[in-house]
Amino acid sequence: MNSISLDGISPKYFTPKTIDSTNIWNQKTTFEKGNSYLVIAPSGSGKSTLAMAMLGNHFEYDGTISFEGTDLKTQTVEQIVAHRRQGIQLLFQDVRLIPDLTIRENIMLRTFSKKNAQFEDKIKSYASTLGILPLLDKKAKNCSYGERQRSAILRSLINPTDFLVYDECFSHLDLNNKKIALGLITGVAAESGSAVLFFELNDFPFEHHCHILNL
Amino acid sequence: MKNIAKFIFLYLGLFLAFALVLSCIQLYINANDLFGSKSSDANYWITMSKAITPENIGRKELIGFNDKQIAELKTWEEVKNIYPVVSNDFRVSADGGSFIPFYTDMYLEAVDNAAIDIEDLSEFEVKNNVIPIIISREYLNLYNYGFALNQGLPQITEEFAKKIDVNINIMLKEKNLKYTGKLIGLSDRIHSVLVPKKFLDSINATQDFSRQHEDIFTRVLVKVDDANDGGLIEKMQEKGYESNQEALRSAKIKGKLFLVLNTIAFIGGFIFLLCIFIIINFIKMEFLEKKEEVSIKYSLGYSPRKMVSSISRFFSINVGVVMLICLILISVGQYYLGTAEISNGLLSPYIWIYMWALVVIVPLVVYVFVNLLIYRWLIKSWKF
Repeated sequence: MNSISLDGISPKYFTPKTIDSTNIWNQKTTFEKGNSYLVIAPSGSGKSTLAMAMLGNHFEYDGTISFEGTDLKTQTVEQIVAHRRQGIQLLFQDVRLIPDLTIRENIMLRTFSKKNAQFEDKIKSYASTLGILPLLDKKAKNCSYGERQRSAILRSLINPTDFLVYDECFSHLDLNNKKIALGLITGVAAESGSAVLFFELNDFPFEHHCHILNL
Repeated sequence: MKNIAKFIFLYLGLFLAFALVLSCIQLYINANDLFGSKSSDANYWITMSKAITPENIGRKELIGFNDKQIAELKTWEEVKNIYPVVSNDFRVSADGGSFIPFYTDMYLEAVDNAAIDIEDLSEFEVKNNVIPIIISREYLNLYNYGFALNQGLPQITEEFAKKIDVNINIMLKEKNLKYTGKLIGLSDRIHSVLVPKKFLDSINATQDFSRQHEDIFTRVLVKVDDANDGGLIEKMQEKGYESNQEALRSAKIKGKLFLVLNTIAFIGGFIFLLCIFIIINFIKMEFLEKKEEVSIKYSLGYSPRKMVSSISRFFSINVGVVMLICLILISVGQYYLGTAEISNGLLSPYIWIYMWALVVIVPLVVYVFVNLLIYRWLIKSWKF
């Protein structure tokens, strides 16, 4: 999948606070593969609504979201889900790890039961970068929020899709960890040719190369 | 723990359902073996007449079968052929002449030769004023064991009866005719006094009543595929037709037995449906209990269809296993029943072979059905 276009979209059941100053709501925006984007979205601007709509989790919006020209609303549930394997992935604000599985098992969910040494190497290398290597065999429910957030980041990178969407994925990380995580994400994305979309409340307090958009 | 109890009850229910339905099928097969199954080769003859009611009493046109009714009878699937019985429309009497001192009013009937159960019918023709006669074996028995014993008369064998000549007096409107009657055979099929049809038709044709009612037949001989047929009995009852054949009595017993079997099978089927309902709800509960896990997997790219089909597969395999256990138990039972003395060698020691196919078919149907319903439920009502 090479592009995701948002054309004249607006939430059906609420009006975002930023509706007058946005680059996205009611506008035409295209995200292209290989680029990094930072969508700055203050509270109440409809950030999670937009992220979930892009994933195809709901259709409660007017306008069209299309994957390479194909309107998402015309797709069946199975077709939408199929896009998530290679096309688009979202790291939710609430992290979403299965509490009873270990961190490693949670990460391996993204490999769809394919076990090979390559994944194992990646897990170890990314985990050590993110500082969660000792946690891999710990159950997710026994980890702190910050640890789970970093684990979820790892899960998103183990088998990266063409578009990686992160909804406030650094909220529980300190500045240093935030920088490391951002570096890892952009590094892996550059390697796989993926596009990265960060939905954040504010701009990153350090240098970055993302295109900035306002929601 | 709670789940294990649920599973036990579910599989007990399924076991009960299969035990009821499958053993009913096997009992049905056994009953067919014992009573004789339906077969298009097996012919049976019944004599059909209309029930006598106050409305039709004494009225030949009502008590007999007309052309339309006979044509309709022919359309019944159980009926292979129909032979209407023609009766005399004139007065007839018989006497023994000087040899045996007896006199009786009597009746004559005729039917197509094809319906008569006597092999050699070459003599069944009126020649030289001799009327060949066929009577029911019952009539001779009635005489030998009832009448003759009480009246101090000699018993008569079939061979001897064939040697006796009797005078047949036919009283027509304009003249009387005198014939010699000669018994040529005894019928087990037709309870009547039969004379050649051509002869009876030709005399009936000279009578007024006959001309008006030539298409009315008081009784019909019906050749059926299998007299043990519940369907036939039902149709006869509906039309008010009667038959006193013993065969129909066994059909009635069989019919009642099958009614009981059908009822049990129906209850089994109902329990089975209930179990399917429980399975569906069970799977729904599984999904609801694992709501978070399912949502996460869904957002990561796991297909809901595959998630549903893997759980449906698990349940249908279990259904197959329960069914297999049930069939094995039934085949052990059948083996003992089939080899036991009580079955008299009429029952097979093995269960009906096609029942084994159910072990594949039923789980497959359960899989498709459960899969479809759960998937539809998931897509319609699930908030991921």
